[in-house]
Amino acid sequence: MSTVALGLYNVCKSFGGLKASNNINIEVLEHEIYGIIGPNGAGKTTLFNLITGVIAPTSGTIRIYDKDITNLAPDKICGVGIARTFQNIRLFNAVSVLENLMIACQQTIHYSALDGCLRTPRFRREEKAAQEKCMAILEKFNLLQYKDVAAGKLPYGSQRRVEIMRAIMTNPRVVLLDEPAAGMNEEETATLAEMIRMLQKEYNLTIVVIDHHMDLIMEICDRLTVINFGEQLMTGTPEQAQSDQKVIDAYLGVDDE
Amino acid sequence: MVLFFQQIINALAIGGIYALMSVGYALIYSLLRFTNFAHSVAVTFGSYAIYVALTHITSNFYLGLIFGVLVGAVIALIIELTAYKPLLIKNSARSSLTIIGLGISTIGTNMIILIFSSRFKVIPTDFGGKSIQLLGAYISVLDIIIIAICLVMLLGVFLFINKTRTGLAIRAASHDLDSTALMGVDVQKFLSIIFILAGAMAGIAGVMLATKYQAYPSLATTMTNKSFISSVVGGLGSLGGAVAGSFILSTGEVMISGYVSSELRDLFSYGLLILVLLVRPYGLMGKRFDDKA
Amino acid sequence: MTYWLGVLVQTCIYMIAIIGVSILSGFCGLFTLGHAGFMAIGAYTSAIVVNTFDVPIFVGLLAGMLLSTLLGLLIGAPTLRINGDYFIIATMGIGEAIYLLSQYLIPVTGGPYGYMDFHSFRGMEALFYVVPILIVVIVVTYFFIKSKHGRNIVALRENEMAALTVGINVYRYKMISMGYSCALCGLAGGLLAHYMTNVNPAMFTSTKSNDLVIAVVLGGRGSLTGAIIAAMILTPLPELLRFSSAQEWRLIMYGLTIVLVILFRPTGLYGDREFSISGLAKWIKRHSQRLMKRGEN
Repeated sequence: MSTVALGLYNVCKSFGGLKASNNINIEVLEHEIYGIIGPNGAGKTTLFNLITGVIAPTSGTIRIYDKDITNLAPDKICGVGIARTFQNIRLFNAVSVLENLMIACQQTIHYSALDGCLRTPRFRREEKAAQEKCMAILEKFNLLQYKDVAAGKLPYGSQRRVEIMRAIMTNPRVVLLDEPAAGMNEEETATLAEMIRMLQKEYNLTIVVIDHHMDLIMEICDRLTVINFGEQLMTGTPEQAQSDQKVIDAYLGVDDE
Repeated sequence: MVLFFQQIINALAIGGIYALMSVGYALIYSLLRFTNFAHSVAVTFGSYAIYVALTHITSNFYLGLIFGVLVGAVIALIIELTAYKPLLIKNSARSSLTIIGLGISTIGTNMIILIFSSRFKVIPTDFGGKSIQLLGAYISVLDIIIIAICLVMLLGVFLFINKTRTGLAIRAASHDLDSTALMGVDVQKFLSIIFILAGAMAGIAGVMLATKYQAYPSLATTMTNKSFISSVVGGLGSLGGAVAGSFILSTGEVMISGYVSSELRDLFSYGLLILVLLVRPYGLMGKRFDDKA
Repeated sequence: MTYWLGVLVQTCIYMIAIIGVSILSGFCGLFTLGHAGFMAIGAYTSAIVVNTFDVPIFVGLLAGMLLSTLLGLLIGAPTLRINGDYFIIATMGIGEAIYLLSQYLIPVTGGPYGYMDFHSFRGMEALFYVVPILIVVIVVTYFFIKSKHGRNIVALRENEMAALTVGINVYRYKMISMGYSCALCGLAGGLLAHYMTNVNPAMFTSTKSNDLVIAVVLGGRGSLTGAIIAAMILTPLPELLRFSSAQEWRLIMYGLTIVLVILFRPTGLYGDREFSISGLAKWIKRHSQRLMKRGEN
C-alpha cells in the first residue's frame, strides 16, 4: 500500500443552511492522477477551495502526507506543497509570462528585501537559479517565444498552460487542476491529457483533476470520486464509475437539459 | 438639562443629514463594493441649488428643496452614466471607480469655486433664526424641519427597500450582483435607479446643510467625509449600520462641541474613525466581503 | 538660492514622496488619501528633534522616517487585513486627524502659524542633501521593485487570490508597501521642513494628499519612470500657473485628466513599463526607420 498524499476525512462545509460539501472522504495516493467529477454546482470547486485554505471547513480534517493543514492560511498551505489552477484563469495579467513564473518561485528564492534593494551576490545567485528554472519549463511547454508578453494578452489556451506552469514552479507535491480542459476542443484536450501525464512523471507529482470532460477523466485518471449536490456518490476506478447506477442517474439528469 | 435637550435636538438634525448621505453611500457600496467619492458632488450641487433657487427663482423653501433634490439626482445620474457605467461594463478594477470618483469630486468642488467664489452664501429662508420654546428649551424651527424631512426620507427608503419589488432586487443584488443579472433584472437600469436615489438623498442633505450652515465649496466634502466615518463606524455596506453610525457620530460631535470645545469637534470625528478601525475594524454591523474563487 | 533652484529642490522632495506613494498605490494597488499626513509627521518630527536635541539634520530625518513608518504600520495593521474600502477611508481619516492635530497642539507644533526657528538648510546646502538622497531613493526603489519582494507586491495587485495560492503572504506585503510609502513620505516631509525653514499645517492639507495619488495615477500605475515624470511635470505646475483662479483651473484639469486617463488609458500615461536605454534605442531605431522610409517615398 503506498502513501496517502492527500487525505480528506469527514469534511463538511455549509454556507448558511446550504451544504456545499457533506461528509467527504477521499484518500489520494502518492503519484496518482485522481479525478473529481460531478454535474455543475456539485461542489467540486468548493473542495479545492477547502484544500487550499481559501475557505475553512465547517468540520473534518484535511491532511497532506502526514501534516494536518485543516486550518492553515492559503500561503502556508502552498508552502506545504499544494498548488492549484483556477476554473476562471487567474494569472497576473499585466505581468510578463516569465515574471508570472518567477513570482511563483517563492520556495526557490529566499533572499531578504535588503538583498534585493542592494543587489547582493545572494540576490544575483538566487535570481539566476530561479530564472533558469523558469526558462527550462517554458522551453518544455514550447512557450519560450512568449516569455516577455503580458500574460493577460496570451490566447486562452496558452493562458491555461501558463497557469499550470506557474503551479509547478511552486515546487508542489500535489497539484490541483480545476477544469483544465474547459473551452478546449477534442484535439486540444488530447494534448492536455498527454501533458498532464508527462508532468506527473517528470515532477513526481500527485495530481487531482476536476473536469466535465468525461473522456479526459476516463483516459488519465487512475481513480476518481463522483460528487453531486455536495454528496460523495462513489469512489473507484473509471470503469466502476461508468457502470455505477447512481452516477449514471446523476449524469443523465444533466444531459437532459 | 435644558441645554442637554437642545443638544439632543441638534444631534438628531445633524445625524439625520449624515444618515441621508451615508445611506446613499452604503446603498452603492453594498452593490458595487466601492467608495463613491463623487457622492460629495451631488451634495455640493444640492447646497448651491437651494441658494440659486431662493435668490433667483422662488421664495418658497419647499420648492427650493425639490429643486435641490432634482439637481442632486440628475448630477448623480450624469456621473453614473458618464464615468461609472463605462468602467463597470469593462469590468474594471474597483480601485479605478474609486479614483475616478476622486477626480470628479475635484472637478465639482473647483467648478463651484469658479462660478460662485469661495465666499459663504447665506440661504434666505423665512424661518431663518426662528425658534420655538419647548420644555423650557429654545428649539430652532429649521432643526425641526430637518428632523421631520430626514425621518420621512429615511422611512421612505426603508419601506422602498423592504416592501417593493425593486427593493427586493436591491437586497438580492447586494448579495450577488451577477446572479441578479441572471434573474432577468436589467442591471444597468437598476444601477441608474440606485444612483438617482442616492443622488436625491445627497441633494436633500446638501439643501439642509446649506440652510443650516450656509453654502461654501468645501462644505460637501467635509460632510461626506463624515458620512464615510458614519458608515465605517456602522460597518461598510450595511444600511442600518450607516444610520446608527450617523447618529452615534452626530451625538458625539454635538456633545463635544457643547461641553468641551467646538474646535475639537472634527478631531473627535476622525479620532473616532481611527479608534473604531483599530478596535473593531468591521464596525458595529459590518459584514465580511470575501473574494470567491 | 535662486528661485528656480528652489523649484528644483521642491520637485526633488515631492518626487521622493510620489515614489513612496507609487509603491503603495501604483505597484500594490492600495489607494491612499492621506499621505500628506505622513509627510507632516516627518516634517514636524525632524524639525522638533533637530531643535530640541541639537542633533544633525540627518538624525532628524531618520527620526521622522521612523515615526511616520510606525504610524503607517499601526493604521495599516487592522485595515489591511480586511477587504473593502476600509483602508482608503482610514488613510483619509489619519491625514485629516494629523492636519487637525497640528493645528490644535500649539505648544508642540506652533499651531496654524507653524513651527519655526529650527536648524535648516543654508543656501545651496539643500541641494547637497536632496539630490543624493533622491538618487539613492530611485536606485534602491528600482532594485526593490525588480526583486522578488517587488514582484510579490505587483502580484497581489494583479490577483490577490492567485498571489495567496502561489505562497505569498499577502498581508505582509501590503504592510511592507505601506511601510515603504510612509518612510519615503516621512523623509520627504523632513526635507521639506528643513528647506522651507517653517512647518505649518497648510503644507499638508488633503489637497496635497490627493495631489500625490493623482501624480501616481497619471504617471502610470506600477511604473517608477511614470512616477518620476509625473513629479517633474506636476510639482512645478503651481509655480508656473500664477494667474488668478489658476489653482481652481489646475485642479479641474487634474480632475479631468484623471477621469480621461481612467476611462481611456487605465494604466496611466507611462503604463507599467520602465525607461531603459535599450528600450530608448529600439524606439529611436523604429522611428528613424519610419522617417527614412518616408524620405525615400
